Amino acid sequence: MTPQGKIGRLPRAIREELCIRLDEGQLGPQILPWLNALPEVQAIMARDFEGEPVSAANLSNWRTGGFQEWAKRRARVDRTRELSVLAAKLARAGGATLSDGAAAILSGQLLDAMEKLDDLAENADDGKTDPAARAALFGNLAKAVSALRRGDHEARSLEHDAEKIKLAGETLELARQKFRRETCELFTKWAADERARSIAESPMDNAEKIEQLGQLMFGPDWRTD
Amino acid sequence: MNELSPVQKNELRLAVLRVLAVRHPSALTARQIAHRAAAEVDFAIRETDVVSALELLRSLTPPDAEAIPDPLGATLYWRATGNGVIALERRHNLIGKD
Repeated sequence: MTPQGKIGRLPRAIREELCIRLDEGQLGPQILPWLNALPEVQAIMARDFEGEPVSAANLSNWRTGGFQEWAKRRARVDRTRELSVLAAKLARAGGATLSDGAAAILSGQLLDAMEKLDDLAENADDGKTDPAARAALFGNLAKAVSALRRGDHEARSLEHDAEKIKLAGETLELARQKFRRETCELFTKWAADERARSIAESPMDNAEKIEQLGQLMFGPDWRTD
Repeated sequence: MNELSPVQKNELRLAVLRVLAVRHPSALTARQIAHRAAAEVDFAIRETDVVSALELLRSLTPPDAEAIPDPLGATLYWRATGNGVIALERRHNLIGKD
């Protein structure tokens, strides 16, 4: 909302500087000469207020209106900073496995809900609280935390799956090595066997040779189906 | 709504950077940023104005803001970079960086 009155019409940067001076405890006799000497202030006074400079009464009005708003905003910025630190800590604590970007997004979601709750708490001081809205926001916050936990569980589950795949790969490799070794052993054993040699050297096609060798080497364990 | 003047654009960039720096390291959507930046300026702004301001902050060398894409969608989340936080503390003037 655009502030009203003579000082309210001044550019934001000048109002900011004025508020800082008031906050530092400067008084009208120090502030007014500085303010009324600024070319931007003189131009606005000439254009909108028939050249009347900012008076002690204008400053007094500002002190009880615009300046109070400014002080409130400043306190709010400090609170938002604290909430942001808290949201970042929550995001990190709850989701140690989250990437930096995902943690920043989650922290932003938590902060958004916290700021809204903070708004409601501030309104509660003014007797404007809507219990339903507050409950809805608590629900959103709970959802954000739950999403965080879910994300964390999913990340852990993915890690677990990756570990299982790795183990399965290692097991397969071991089985392959074992199979090769056993094949060599069987070859050594059966290469010396007359029956096996006669099957191998017969004019049968390969499928028939394999079938007969299988029956010879493995007996009833050999299955053709 | 009228196009923002260069002075207003500059003011909005600072407001956007202020919104992000105060909330560092959290990342917010352009809509969330616009909602907060609207309270920091004396003129009406649109979400597209905020997106332009964010894009400019991102294009600086080094950038004052960065965008993180939502892993599950197209939404971009924005946060101030360390440089952005420092730049704001120094309150450097962004006029003329268009």
